[in-house]
Amino acid sequence: MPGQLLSPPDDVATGDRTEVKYRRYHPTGSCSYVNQSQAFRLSGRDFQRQYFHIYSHRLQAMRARLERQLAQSHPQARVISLSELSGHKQQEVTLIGTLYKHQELKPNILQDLSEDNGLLPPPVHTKYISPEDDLILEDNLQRIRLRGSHINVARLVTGVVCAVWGTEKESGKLEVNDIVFPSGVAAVPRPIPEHTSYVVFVSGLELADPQGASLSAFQLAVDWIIGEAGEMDEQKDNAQIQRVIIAGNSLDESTKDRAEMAKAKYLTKDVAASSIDAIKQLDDFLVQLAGSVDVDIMPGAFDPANQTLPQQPLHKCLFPATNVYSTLHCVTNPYQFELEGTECLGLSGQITDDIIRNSELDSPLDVMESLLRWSHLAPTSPDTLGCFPYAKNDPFILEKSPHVMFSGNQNLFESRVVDVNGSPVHLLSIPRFKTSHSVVAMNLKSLTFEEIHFDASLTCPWLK
Amino acid sequence: MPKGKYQVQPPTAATPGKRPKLKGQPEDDETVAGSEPDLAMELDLESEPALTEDVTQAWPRPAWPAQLSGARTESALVFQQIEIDHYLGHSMPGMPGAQSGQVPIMRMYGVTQEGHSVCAHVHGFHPYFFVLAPPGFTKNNLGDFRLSLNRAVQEDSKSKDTPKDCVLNVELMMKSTIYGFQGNKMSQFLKITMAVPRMIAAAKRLLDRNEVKFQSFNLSSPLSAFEANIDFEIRFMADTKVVGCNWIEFPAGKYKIRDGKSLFGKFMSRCQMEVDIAWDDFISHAPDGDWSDVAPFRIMSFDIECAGRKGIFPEPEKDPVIQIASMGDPEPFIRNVFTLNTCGEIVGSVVISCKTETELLDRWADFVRQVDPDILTGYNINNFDFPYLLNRAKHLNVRNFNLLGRVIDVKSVVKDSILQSKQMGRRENKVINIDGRVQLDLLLILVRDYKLRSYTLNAVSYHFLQEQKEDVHHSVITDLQNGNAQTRRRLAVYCLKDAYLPLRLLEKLMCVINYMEMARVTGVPLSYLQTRGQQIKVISQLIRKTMEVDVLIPTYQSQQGDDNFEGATVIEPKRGYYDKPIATLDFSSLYPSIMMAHNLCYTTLLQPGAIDKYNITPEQYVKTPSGNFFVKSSVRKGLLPEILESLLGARKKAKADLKKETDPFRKKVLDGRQLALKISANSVYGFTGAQVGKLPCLEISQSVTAFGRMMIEQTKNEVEAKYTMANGYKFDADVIYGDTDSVMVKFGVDNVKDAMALGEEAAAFVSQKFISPIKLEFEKVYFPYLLINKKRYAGLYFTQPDKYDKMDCKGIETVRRDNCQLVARLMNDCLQKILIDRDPEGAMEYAKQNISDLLCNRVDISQLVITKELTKTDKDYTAKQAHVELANKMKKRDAGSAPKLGDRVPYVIVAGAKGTPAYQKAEDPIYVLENNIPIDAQHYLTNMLAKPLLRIFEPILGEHKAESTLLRGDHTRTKTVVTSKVPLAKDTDAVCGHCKPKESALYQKHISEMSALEERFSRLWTQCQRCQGSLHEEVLCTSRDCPIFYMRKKIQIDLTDKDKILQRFGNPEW
Repeated sequence: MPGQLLSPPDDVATGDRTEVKYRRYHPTGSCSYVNQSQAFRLSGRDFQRQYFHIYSHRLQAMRARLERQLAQSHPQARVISLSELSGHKQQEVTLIGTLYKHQELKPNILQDLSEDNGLLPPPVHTKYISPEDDLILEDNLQRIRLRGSHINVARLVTGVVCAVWGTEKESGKLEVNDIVFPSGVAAVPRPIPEHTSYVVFVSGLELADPQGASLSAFQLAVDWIIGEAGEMDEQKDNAQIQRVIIAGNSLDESTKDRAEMAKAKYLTKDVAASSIDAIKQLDDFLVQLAGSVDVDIMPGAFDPANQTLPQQPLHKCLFPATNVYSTLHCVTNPYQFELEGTECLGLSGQITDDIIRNSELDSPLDVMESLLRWSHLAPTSPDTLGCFPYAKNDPFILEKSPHVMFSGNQNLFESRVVDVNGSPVHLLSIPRFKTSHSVVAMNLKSLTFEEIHFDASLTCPWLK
Repeated sequence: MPKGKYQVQPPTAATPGKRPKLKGQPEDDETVAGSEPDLAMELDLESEPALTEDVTQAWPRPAWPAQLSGARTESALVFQQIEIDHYLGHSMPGMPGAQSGQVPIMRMYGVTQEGHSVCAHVHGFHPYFFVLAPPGFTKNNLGDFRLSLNRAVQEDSKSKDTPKDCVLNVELMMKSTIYGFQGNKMSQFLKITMAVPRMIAAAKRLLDRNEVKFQSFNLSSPLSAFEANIDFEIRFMADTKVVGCNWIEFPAGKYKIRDGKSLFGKFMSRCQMEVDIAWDDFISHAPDGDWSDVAPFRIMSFDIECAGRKGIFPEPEKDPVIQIASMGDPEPFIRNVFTLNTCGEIVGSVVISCKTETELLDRWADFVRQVDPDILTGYNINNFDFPYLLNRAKHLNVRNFNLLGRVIDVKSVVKDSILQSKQMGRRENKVINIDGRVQLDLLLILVRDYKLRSYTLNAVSYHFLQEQKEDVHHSVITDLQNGNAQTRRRLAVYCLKDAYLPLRLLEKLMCVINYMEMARVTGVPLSYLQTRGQQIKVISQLIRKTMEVDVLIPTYQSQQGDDNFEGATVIEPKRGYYDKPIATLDFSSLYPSIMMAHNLCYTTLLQPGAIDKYNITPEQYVKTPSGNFFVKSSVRKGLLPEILESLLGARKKAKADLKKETDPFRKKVLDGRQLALKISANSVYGFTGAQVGKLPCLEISQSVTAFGRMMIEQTKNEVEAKYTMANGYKFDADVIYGDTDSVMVKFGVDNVKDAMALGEEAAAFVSQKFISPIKLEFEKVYFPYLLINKKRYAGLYFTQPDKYDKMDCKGIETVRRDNCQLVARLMNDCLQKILIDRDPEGAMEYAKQNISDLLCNRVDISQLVITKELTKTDKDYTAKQAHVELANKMKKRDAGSAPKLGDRVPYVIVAGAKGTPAYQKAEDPIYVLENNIPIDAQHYLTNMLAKPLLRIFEPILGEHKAESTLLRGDHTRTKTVVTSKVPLAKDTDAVCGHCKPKESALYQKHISEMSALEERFSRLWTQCQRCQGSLHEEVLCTSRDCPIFYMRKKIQIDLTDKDKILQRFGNPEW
């Protein structure tokens, strides 16, 4: 069993070796880890559907929540539907609906198709927003444009459900006085673990070619995690790492074979998927980790998993070596789990990236905070971010706040504690390993984060 | 200009703010280029009207100031007329013309600058025609002639109402015939004025047959009639110098305003003001300067929805009209929808729910009368909406529905008309009289003026506005109607959109301005442009000219001729790919300038024997290359050359004014005018050649083409003789091709700038050799140039040396409608690669890749769809037709959704057993997708792609090489054979034991394909949601013209298949 591989030497004091091994910390109790991502699992996928179901369900669920909320906070509010609006001219009314942001720059497949023939590649935008963007509220039947200083078009996105107060001053335009989002249930206060233990977050390994500079850095990180590297104190601490979470993009974008798909078959029929070598490398790393510690691997945008949300777990047949360890957990994206009573909600980054592209929000922490305030994990799905066409539910509705929320594949390590629904939520942005050579360690007892940087160049401290 | 309290002067350039807004000013254009085809939102959001009640108030026109109701005429009345017709009525005291019996009264409808509608009754104008006076006829015979003809006409007429005086007047006049040179001598003609227009035909017939018995003389031969077949309105307009859509001024004191009470003051129309005036008392302003503006006409577009039964095209006797949407221009005076049964509110539009269909029709008709539109438009309103509404109202006995016109008691009725024209072939149309309002059916305009792949409203909107519109299948309409107020609301939104798009298109294409300018230039009423052919325009211009010079047009009995004359020929093309600049020299307005240069006209034609008869010396005439003779202008100046001179002169002026003009609206007017003038000038030649026309003259038309051919030859010789190395030029020039009015010259230089300089020089040099005004102009350089064959070429088009203007393709399969899109797209892409990228190799690779994709079944099916209209039932087709066979097949599968008569049937060619006839291999693309039926890729390759591709590659690669590399390369050897309905293996394992080590690799390949499919799926279906403008409602659109229609279906099927494959690897576990 993996834990036994790391039995400490009989006599710690003997010899000069600094290579000291400690027993890996294992939490007590059988329910210390619970994967709560069942809602994101798909079985028997039906693609004969359209997307209106998911929007309808979202609106219906959120509307009920908003109505309850309004009964408490705004007992005077008269919620009407847009079709009743003409009976309330020049009066303040309350409307509940889904927001739709009209963006000139939003990519449009019709245009892409017509440009297929054109010789100019479409201009690349990092943001699809412009000052001309328009915010529209759609209830289950009709639409109305939102106007006024209480509406911050640039900070809102398509798919968010909300209640607005306002007056129709001009036909088809609502002058908004206030806006309210559905709130979720506060998190149950988490039990503080008795022992100190750590969870290590990694994202964006982006393995591609065997000579990558980040490769040796990651090997270093693996060695550090499994206790093959570092000072004695460090090794002692590291034995307290109880879990490693790989938050997406273990493989590089270049392994996606996009260009290959477009090529004629007579040129590519014998070409194998270009992800094969990278997957092999990944398997090699995973087998080292899983031999020592529990590893959760989430799929990301570039990984060999399905593309649209929720991303299903990577298939175990991809990892013939690691497959034998029960410590390897292939999980979904989004990924929701409970660790010693601490509830965590993780993203591989597509959702935060998409919202950053479609709003003026720039920090993934701001985005995550907004998601929590909107009570929705992926409002821009399916409009600008693909998702499965659910028929009967919207799994991305947030019922209650987690204790920890993280998003992988970001530019920088950042963390912040925000108060949502009356409880504190710890937000974490995990940097891309490929560019940062960093992982983040979370102290599960104190919920503090620390960025750990690995430098595999010659000035590396442990080679001194 | 007279001034008055309520008379508004047409705006001057100094007060552009007052200008009537005919939509289409640039500031309005910003919505057009939008990338987001979110029409529903536009509908909801663009509106400016404040709130519902105010909108209904905006329906009637602005009220006349109250003091005007009396008969006060001390100030002038100025309005722009838009339609002219006539009716028979009682003569009005104090007016000229016949004082008893029925008299024709002209009616002009128009709008003042302030937007008030006017109906003017113009009295005292009678129709007339001419006959050549019999030899020896004198003034003394006039009385007898009149009485005898009068008696004959009365006897001929069976009607009791025939007035006593049918022939009002007979005068002797000196005139000459237009046809043939007459030695500049006049002859005696009789001008015969009749009481009413229809009597002209009778009188002419009687005279033709020599059935009139005269007392004072005997006729040995019948009297031939002149100008007896001129439309009465055209005659009136020519005599009063009124042209279509010009401004009319009724001077103060000369007219009477009707008060609705007195005997002669009764209202006949629904216009706001009705006035009476004598025909010679008003002023007609030529449409120049300030008078070229446009009054604020009300344009109303509408669309109806019918609830049909499954599988049957709606029939007015059975299927109800459930909604009528109307949209008005200038915005936003109307924006409403009348619905049967309740309907949810639509933000920005007025919903008028009616309980019964009778109420719906009744209220809509009433609404039209209130709005009083000047122009009615829509999509296919002439052949569908109007006839349907009228027939439905008749069936339901809705009284007064058919009173849609401006004349109070004239009912609108539907008639069939057949318009035969050389330009468009035979067209059967319905004609509906809506007196006083002009109908502009956008579909008819587009079919007439634009060559498109498809004319559905959706395809047209995509083409011109880059917007998709949702298309609801007619079988869904009934379901939506039978749902609830909200499903009907959804239908109403479509209906509004269908009414809105024609307005947008009219504006974008500037149809109204261009049509008005055409009416002004040719002098015919606006409505003639849609209902009549080309000839009436030339006649209208011709008659205005002949009147001035006492020339008469014989009434020609049109007959089917079978003389064929040689058309324009071309210099045999030297086919090939030219990587050198090719200069193009064009004769500007070639045919008009030939007619002007050589004085070719009816009046100058020397008929056989005329040379001797009039003693014409050889210096005085010209013999044309076709062997006809015409006198030179020194003897007599031709009328056609004069007309052409004034048209081209006016065009020059319009173009010059266009350059100076800064006001965007006037710019459009001027541009419309110069275009109208150009088309008019070119149609004169066609008029002389139209054998079933009013006055064909093959001597003219064949001389014109013969001169044209000669000049092209001569140009070639001159250029090739001068631009030689022997004459000090760097290269020998080579004329590689010549067509109707242009020659392509390869000067040999290798850059555009030098080619342009030589082109300019050569044009000027060759022009000297021809008689003025024939002028050879240098226009453009093609570089590179791919000359495929006669009338088939492509090149990059340069008008300035540093940057090309466009890629110009002629006669290449890029727009032909009977092709599938793959051909058009592939041709276009290959040409781009050859011409713009100058990469013939790349083009070749690209073509090969596409062929491979086709053979591997990787081409999107929408690219392979061929569409044909189901015009007749299969009994009427002599040969078996693929689309008819398919329609029958589909009817057996599901009668409800099968195509009906008049529908366009899209199909693809599927593989069949060897020897299956092609017509049996057509299949519904949706059925093909759903049942995984293999496409007959080979058929597409050999029958559709091969020829056009070889055509463009042969000039580059040579005949044999092109064929062997394109059609027989490696790329044709990998094929995907889709076998029909093979069940997926039932084994639970994804791979066999042998392949187990490769399992991961296989999985990666499949999952990577899966993720690409998923991404496409979500992009396609969210695009449809955006287009329909709703997130919470199901996408119902079935627009088969939409580029993603089949794609979104295919992606569902592909995803399901791919998912099944992935399932075999087992569901991924935690």
